[in-house]
Amino acid sequence: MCDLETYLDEICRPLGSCSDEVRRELRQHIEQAAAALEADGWPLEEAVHAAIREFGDPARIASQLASIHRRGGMQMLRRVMQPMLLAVGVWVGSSFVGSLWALVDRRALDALARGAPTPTWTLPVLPDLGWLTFPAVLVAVRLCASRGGSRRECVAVGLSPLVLAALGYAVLVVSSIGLAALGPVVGFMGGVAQNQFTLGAAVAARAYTVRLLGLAGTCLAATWLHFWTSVQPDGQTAADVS
Amino acid sequence: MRGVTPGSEMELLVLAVLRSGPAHGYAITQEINRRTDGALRMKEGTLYPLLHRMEGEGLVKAAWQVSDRGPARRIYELKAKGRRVLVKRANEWRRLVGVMNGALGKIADV
Repeated sequence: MCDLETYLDEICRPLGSCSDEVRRELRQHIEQAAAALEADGWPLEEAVHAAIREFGDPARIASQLASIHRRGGMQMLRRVMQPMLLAVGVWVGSSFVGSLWALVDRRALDALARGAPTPTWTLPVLPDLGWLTFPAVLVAVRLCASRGGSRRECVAVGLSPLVLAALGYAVLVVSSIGLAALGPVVGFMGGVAQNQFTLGAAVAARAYTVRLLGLAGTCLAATWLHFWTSVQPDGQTAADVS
Repeated sequence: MRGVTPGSEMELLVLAVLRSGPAHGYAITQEINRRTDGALRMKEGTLYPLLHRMEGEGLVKAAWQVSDRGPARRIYELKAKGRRVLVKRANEWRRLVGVMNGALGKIADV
């Protein structure tokens, strides 16, 4: 069996971290082939040699496997990261356009000029392009599926804007707490009332929570719609089945 | 007939074998040998790069299956995309065979 280990070493060495699973799989194949020959009356050692011979040139197999596992990383990027970037990009982009609009929105500028206590630059007063997220998530999930993505990968793509938004929300909460704590100091230095900081943080947090919930609904609905309408192995859609 | 390229027949055979049900690598080679009467023999080791590539392309999925009777085996199963590709390639292959038969028939007439 020492020959078998040497042979497997030659195949698995170039594969790096994934070599353990590959080694286990190849060993089982060769051991099964050897066991079949042994059952036909071959001595064990000769059976193993014959099975190894039949398996083929280790350098060639190693090179083919290494090339595929290298490409695996690229395929993962193509399958998951590109659709994810599409979904997240459209979501961020639509929010960014809304924020830019705030700078030229007359009502927002007027409110700022009047020194209104609430931050009127928050998105509810702006043209909301968030609806673009739904088709973008749907297209991204479909793209992932069409490139051979697993169900789990497709769900991850569908929920990626939500995950990013939740992270943003966590940052907002932490910074709001910090802002409220620093309010008295900064307010004193800038001549701004303390309650304006607290109020501003609260309004922003409320607006963000609403948007976060809306985004959760959008991402879940688009992902669900994809699976609902996608073709099952037996040629039916989930809608047909039910 | 773009799908029929040299070497793609092995991928087609693997897809056809897996259509009958999930199987591990050794069983796949045995089934190919049985179905082709040993006429299409390949070095068994080259099956694994092929299977791993097909897994990467989303045609098959693989999972380790624990059995009471022996060690865990990596079992390959056809995915929906694999089924679609199998149907498409099988049709292309049959068309190619038809075209070749037609062409060879004309030669025989001469």
